[in-house]
Amino acid sequence: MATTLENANPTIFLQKTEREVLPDEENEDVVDKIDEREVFDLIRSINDPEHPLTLEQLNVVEQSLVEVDDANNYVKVQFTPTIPHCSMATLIGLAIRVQLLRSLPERFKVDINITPGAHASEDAVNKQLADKERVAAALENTHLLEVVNQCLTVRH
Amino acid sequence: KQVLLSEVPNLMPLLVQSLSCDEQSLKLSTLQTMYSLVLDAPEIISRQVTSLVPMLLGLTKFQLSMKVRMEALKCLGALTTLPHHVVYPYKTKVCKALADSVDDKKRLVRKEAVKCRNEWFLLGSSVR
Repeated sequence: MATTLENANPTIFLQKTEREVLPDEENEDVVDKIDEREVFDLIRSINDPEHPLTLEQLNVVEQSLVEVDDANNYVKVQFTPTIPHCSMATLIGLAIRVQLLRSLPERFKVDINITPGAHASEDAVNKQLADKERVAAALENTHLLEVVNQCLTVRH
Repeated sequence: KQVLLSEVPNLMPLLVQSLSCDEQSLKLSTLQTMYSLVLDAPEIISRQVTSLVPMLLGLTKFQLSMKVRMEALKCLGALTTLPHHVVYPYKTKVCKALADSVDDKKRLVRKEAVKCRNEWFLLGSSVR
Protein backbone atom coordinates (compact mmCIF):
# COMPACT_ATOMS: atom_id res chain seq x y z
CA MET A 1 0.00 0.00 0.00
CA ALA A 2 1.22 3.54 -0.77
CA THR A 3 2.54 5.50 2.19
CA THR A 4 0.48 8.55 1.30
CA LEU A 5 -3.17 7.97 0.68
CA GLU A 6 -4.73 9.59 -2.34
CA ASN A 7 -7.87 10.40 -0.50
CA ALA A 8 -6.93 10.53 3.17
CA ASN A 9 -10.28 11.53 4.63
CA PRO A 10 -13.09 10.03 2.64
CA THR A 11 -16.70 10.75 3.50
CA ILE A 12 -18.33 7.76 5.12
CA PHE A 13 -21.90 6.93 4.26
CA LEU A 14 -24.51 4.98 6.17
CA GLN A 15 -24.87 1.30 5.46
CA LYS A 16 -28.10 -0.39 4.54
CA THR A 17 -29.58 -2.91 6.95
CA GLU A 18 -29.78 -6.61 6.12
CA ARG A 19 -32.48 -7.51 3.67
CA GLU A 20 -35.66 -8.72 5.35
CA VAL A 21 -36.72 -12.28 4.66
CA LEU A 22 -40.19 -12.31 3.16
CA PRO A 23 -42.60 -15.26 3.60
CA ASP A 24 -42.41 -15.91 -0.13
CA GLU A 25 -38.70 -16.56 0.15
CA GLU A 26 -39.35 -19.41 2.57
CA ASN A 27 -41.98 -20.96 0.35
CA GLU A 28 -40.41 -23.76 -1.70
CA ASP A 29 -42.69 -23.33 -4.68
CA VAL A 30 -42.13 -19.65 -5.35
CA VAL A 31 -39.29 -18.76 -7.69
CA ASP A 32 -37.28 -15.76 -6.44
CA LYS A 33 -35.97 -13.56 -9.19
CA ILE A 34 -32.54 -12.01 -8.98
CA ASP A 35 -33.14 -8.30 -8.41
CA GLU A 36 -31.16 -5.09 -7.93
CA ARG A 37 -30.96 -5.49 -4.18
CA GLU A 38 -29.55 -9.00 -4.47
CA VAL A 39 -26.77 -7.92 -6.82
CA PHE A 40 -26.08 -4.89 -4.66
CA ASP A 41 -25.77 -7.19 -1.63
CA LEU A 42 -23.09 -9.13 -3.50
CA ILE A 43 -20.87 -6.12 -4.02
CA ARG A 44 -21.59 -3.81 -1.11
CA SER A 45 -19.27 -5.54 1.36
CA ILE A 46 -16.23 -5.50 -0.95
CA ASN A 47 -13.35 -3.79 0.86
CA ASP A 48 -11.77 -0.65 -0.45
CA PRO A 49 -8.14 -1.31 -1.46
CA GLU A 50 -6.75 1.57 0.61
CA HIS A 51 -9.19 2.10 3.47
CA PRO A 52 -10.59 -0.35 6.03
CA LEU A 53 -14.05 0.49 4.70
CA THR A 54 -16.49 -1.16 2.34
CA LEU A 55 -17.44 0.19 -1.08
CA GLU A 56 -20.91 0.83 0.28
CA GLN A 57 -19.59 2.99 3.12
CA LEU A 58 -17.65 5.08 0.62
CA ASN A 59 -20.67 5.31 -1.67
CA VAL A 60 -18.62 3.81 -4.48
CA VAL A 61 -21.48 1.44 -5.19
CA GLU A 62 -25.15 2.31 -4.77
CA GLN A 63 -28.24 0.24 -5.26
CA SER A 64 -29.73 2.84 -7.59
CA LEU A 65 -26.74 2.39 -9.91
CA VAL A 66 -27.30 -1.34 -10.27
CA GLU A 67 -29.48 -2.52 -13.14
CA VAL A 68 -30.69 -6.11 -13.36
CA ASP A 69 -32.75 -7.82 -16.04
CA ASP A 70 -33.15 -11.42 -14.89
CA ALA A 71 -35.25 -12.50 -17.87
CA ASN A 72 -32.67 -11.25 -20.37
CA ASN A 73 -29.65 -12.30 -18.29
CA TYR A 74 -28.22 -8.84 -18.06
CA VAL A 75 -26.58 -6.98 -15.17
CA LYS A 76 -25.14 -3.49 -15.31
CA VAL A 77 -23.19 -1.98 -12.44
CA GLN A 78 -21.95 1.59 -12.28
CA PHE A 79 -19.49 2.66 -9.64
CA THR A 80 -18.24 6.08 -8.54
CA PRO A 81 -14.57 6.44 -7.51
CA THR A 82 -14.20 8.65 -4.44
CA ILE A 83 -12.02 11.16 -6.31
CA PRO A 84 -11.79 11.90 -10.07
CA HIS A 85 -8.11 10.88 -10.34
CA CYS A 86 -8.35 7.74 -8.28
CA SER A 87 -5.66 5.33 -9.46
CA MET A 88 -7.50 2.49 -7.76
CA ALA A 89 -10.52 2.77 -10.06
CA THR A 90 -9.47 -0.14 -12.28
CA LEU A 91 -8.66 -2.29 -9.28
CA ILE A 92 -12.03 -1.55 -7.68
CA GLY A 93 -13.78 -2.33 -10.95
CA LEU A 94 -11.80 -5.55 -11.24
CA ALA A 95 -12.77 -6.57 -7.70
CA ILE A 96 -16.43 -5.96 -8.52
CA ARG A 97 -16.07 -8.00 -11.70
CA VAL A 98 -14.41 -10.92 -9.96
CA GLN A 99 -16.98 -10.92 -7.18
CA LEU A 100 -19.84 -11.03 -9.69
CA LEU A 101 -18.01 -13.64 -11.76
CA ARG A 102 -17.86 -15.89 -8.71
CA SER A 103 -21.32 -15.11 -7.34
CA LEU A 104 -23.67 -14.71 -10.29
CA PRO A 105 -24.90 -17.54 -12.53
CA GLU A 106 -22.89 -17.87 -15.74
CA ARG A 107 -25.92 -16.96 -17.88
CA PHE A 108 -25.53 -13.29 -16.95
CA LYS A 109 -23.74 -10.76 -19.08
CA VAL A 110 -22.21 -8.26 -16.70
CA ASP A 111 -21.27 -4.70 -17.66
CA ILE A 112 -19.19 -2.68 -15.22
CA ASN A 113 -18.73 1.01 -15.86
CA ILE A 114 -17.65 4.13 -14.06
CA THR A 115 -20.53 6.51 -13.40
CA PRO A 116 -20.42 8.96 -16.33
CA GLY A 117 -18.35 12.02 -15.45
CA ALA A 118 -16.93 10.58 -12.23
CA HIS A 119 -13.40 9.87 -13.38
CA ALA A 120 -10.73 11.55 -15.48
CA SER A 121 -9.85 8.52 -17.60
CA GLU A 122 -13.29 6.98 -17.58
CA ASP A 123 -13.19 5.58 -21.13
CA ALA A 124 -9.85 3.85 -20.67
CA VAL A 125 -10.97 2.19 -17.44
CA ASN A 126 -14.33 1.14 -18.88
CA LYS A 127 -12.61 -0.37 -21.89
CA GLN A 128 -10.18 -2.29 -19.71
CA LEU A 129 -12.94 -3.68 -17.52
CA ALA A 130 -15.03 -4.75 -20.50
CA ASP A 131 -12.13 -6.63 -22.09
CA LYS A 132 -12.53 -10.26 -21.03
CA GLU A 133 -9.05 -11.25 -22.10
CA ARG A 134 -7.41 -8.45 -20.19
CA VAL A 135 -9.44 -9.31 -17.11
CA ALA A 136 -8.42 -12.96 -17.46
CA ALA A 137 -4.79 -11.97 -17.96
CA ALA A 138 -4.91 -9.68 -14.92
CA LEU A 139 -6.09 -12.60 -12.80
CA GLU A 140 -3.16 -14.73 -13.95
CA ASN A 141 -1.00 -12.26 -12.10
CA THR A 142 -0.72 -13.82 -8.64
CA HIS A 143 0.10 -10.57 -6.91
CA LEU A 144 -2.89 -8.82 -8.40
CA LEU A 145 -5.13 -11.78 -7.60
CA GLU A 146 -4.01 -11.58 -3.97
CA VAL A 147 -4.94 -7.91 -3.81
CA VAL A 148 -8.33 -8.64 -5.36
CA ASN A 149 -8.90 -11.55 -2.96
CA GLN A 150 -8.08 -9.25 -0.08
CA CYS A 151 -10.81 -6.88 -1.24
CA LEU A 152 -13.23 -9.79 -1.44
CA THR A 153 -12.56 -11.26 1.99
CA VAL A 154 -15.37 -10.54 4.40
CA ARG A 155 -14.15 -8.84 7.56
CA HIS A 156 -15.77 -10.01 10.76
CA LYS B 1 -19.52 -33.68 24.33
CA GLN B 2 -16.14 -35.22 25.20
CA VAL B 3 -17.80 -38.62 25.30
CA LEU B 4 -19.48 -37.98 21.99
CA LEU B 5 -16.26 -36.85 20.34
CA SER B 6 -14.44 -40.01 21.40
CA GLU B 7 -17.18 -42.10 19.78
CA VAL B 8 -17.26 -40.14 16.55
CA PRO B 9 -14.78 -42.35 14.63
CA ASN B 10 -17.13 -45.30 15.10
CA LEU B 11 -20.20 -43.27 14.23
CA MET B 12 -18.78 -41.64 11.12
CA PRO B 13 -19.68 -44.41 8.63
CA LEU B 14 -23.24 -44.35 9.94
CA LEU B 15 -23.46 -40.59 9.65
CA VAL B 16 -22.16 -40.64 6.09
CA GLN B 17 -24.62 -43.38 5.26
CA SER B 18 -27.58 -41.52 6.72
CA LEU B 19 -26.88 -38.66 4.33
CA SER B 20 -28.04 -40.93 1.52
CA CYS B 21 -31.13 -42.04 3.41
CA ASP B 22 -34.54 -41.03 2.06
CA GLU B 23 -35.83 -39.46 5.27
CA GLN B 24 -35.62 -35.67 4.91
CA SER B 25 -35.55 -34.86 8.62
CA LEU B 26 -32.73 -37.36 9.13
CA LYS B 27 -30.76 -35.76 6.30
CA LEU B 28 -31.25 -32.36 7.84
CA SER B 29 -30.20 -33.29 11.36
CA THR B 30 -27.20 -35.29 10.08
CA LEU B 31 -26.08 -32.26 8.11
CA GLN B 32 -26.35 -30.11 11.22
CA THR B 33 -24.31 -32.61 13.23
CA MET B 34 -21.79 -32.82 10.41
CA TYR B 35 -21.44 -29.04 10.39
CA SER B 36 -20.56 -28.86 14.06
CA LEU B 37 -18.21 -31.85 13.72
CA VAL B 38 -16.24 -30.11 10.97
CA LEU B 39 -15.45 -27.39 13.50
CA ASP B 40 -15.06 -29.63 16.57
CA ALA B 41 -13.35 -32.70 15.17
CA PRO B 42 -11.59 -31.61 11.98
CA GLU B 43 -9.09 -34.49 12.00
CA ILE B 44 -11.86 -37.09 11.95
CA ILE B 45 -13.78 -35.32 9.21
CA SER B 46 -10.57 -34.96 7.17
CA ARG B 47 -10.43 -38.72 6.77
CA GLN B 48 -13.90 -38.74 5.23
CA VAL B 49 -13.53 -35.87 2.80
CA THR B 50 -13.33 -38.21 -0.21
CA SER B 51 -16.83 -39.48 0.43
CA LEU B 52 -18.23 -36.32 1.99
CA VAL B 53 -17.56 -33.86 -0.82
CA PRO B 54 -19.48 -35.72 -3.57
CA MET B 55 -22.26 -36.48 -1.10
CA LEU B 56 -22.67 -32.85 -0.04
CA LEU B 57 -22.46 -31.68 -3.64
CA GLY B 58 -25.29 -34.06 -4.44
CA LEU B 59 -27.38 -32.68 -1.60
CA THR B 60 -26.92 -29.09 -2.77
CA LYS B 61 -29.18 -30.12 -5.66
CA PHE B 62 -31.79 -31.80 -3.45
CA GLN B 63 -34.92 -30.32 -5.02
CA LEU B 64 -37.43 -31.46 -2.38
CA SER B 65 -36.24 -29.24 0.44
CA MET B 66 -34.51 -25.88 0.38
CA LYS B 67 -33.43 -26.40 4.01
CA VAL B 68 -31.43 -29.47 3.04
CA ARG B 69 -29.79 -27.56 0.19
CA MET B 70 -28.88 -24.68 2.51
CA GLU B 71 -27.50 -26.95 5.20
CA ALA B 72 -25.44 -28.91 2.68
CA LEU B 73 -23.96 -25.65 1.39
CA LYS B 74 -23.13 -24.56 4.93
CA CYS B 75 -21.33 -27.86 5.57
CA LEU B 76 -19.48 -27.63 2.31
CA GLY B 77 -18.39 -24.10 3.18
CA ALA B 78 -17.18 -25.23 6.60
CA LEU B 79 -14.98 -27.86 4.93
CA THR B 80 -12.71 -25.04 3.75
CA THR B 81 -11.48 -24.69 7.35
CA LEU B 82 -9.91 -28.16 7.17
CA PRO B 83 -6.16 -28.50 6.58
CA HIS B 84 -5.21 -27.11 3.20
CA HIS B 85 -3.80 -30.30 1.65
CA VAL B 86 -7.00 -32.18 2.45
CA VAL B 87 -9.44 -29.87 0.68
CA TYR B 88 -7.41 -28.06 -1.99
CA PRO B 89 -7.61 -30.97 -4.49
CA TYR B 90 -11.38 -30.50 -4.58
CA LYS B 91 -11.31 -26.77 -5.25
CA THR B 92 -11.93 -26.84 -9.02
CA LYS B 93 -14.57 -29.53 -8.74
CA VAL B 94 -16.52 -27.75 -6.02
CA CYS B 95 -16.33 -24.31 -7.62
CA LYS B 96 -17.59 -25.75 -10.87
CA ALA B 97 -20.39 -27.75 -9.25
CA LEU B 98 -21.61 -24.73 -7.28
CA ALA B 99 -22.17 -22.77 -10.49
CA ASP B 100 -25.65 -24.32 -10.56
CA SER B 101 -26.39 -23.50 -6.94
CA VAL B 102 -25.80 -19.77 -7.36
CA ASP B 103 -28.66 -19.99 -9.86
CA ASP B 104 -31.00 -21.74 -7.42
CA LYS B 105 -34.63 -20.63 -7.61
CA LYS B 106 -34.67 -19.64 -3.92
CA ARG B 107 -32.87 -16.49 -2.81
CA LEU B 108 -31.90 -17.86 0.61
CA VAL B 109 -30.21 -20.86 -1.00
CA ARG B 110 -28.38 -18.60 -3.45
CA LYS B 111 -27.10 -16.58 -0.53
CA GLU B 112 -25.56 -19.67 1.10
CA ALA B 113 -24.25 -20.85 -2.26
CA VAL B 114 -22.48 -17.53 -2.88
CA LYS B 115 -20.91 -17.59 0.57
CA CYS B 116 -19.77 -21.18 0.17
CA ARG B 117 -18.47 -20.77 -3.38
CA ASN B 118 -16.49 -17.66 -2.48
CA GLU B 119 -14.85 -19.49 0.42
CA TRP B 120 -13.76 -22.22 -1.96
CA PHE B 121 -12.45 -19.70 -4.49
CA LEU B 122 -10.31 -18.17 -1.75
CA LEU B 123 -8.63 -21.52 -1.01
CA GLY B 124 -4.97 -21.38 -1.84
CA SER B 125 -4.73 -17.63 -1.50
CA SER B 126 -2.87 -16.15 1.43
CA VAL B 127 -5.79 -14.10 2.72
CA ARG B 128 -7.21 -17.01 4.64
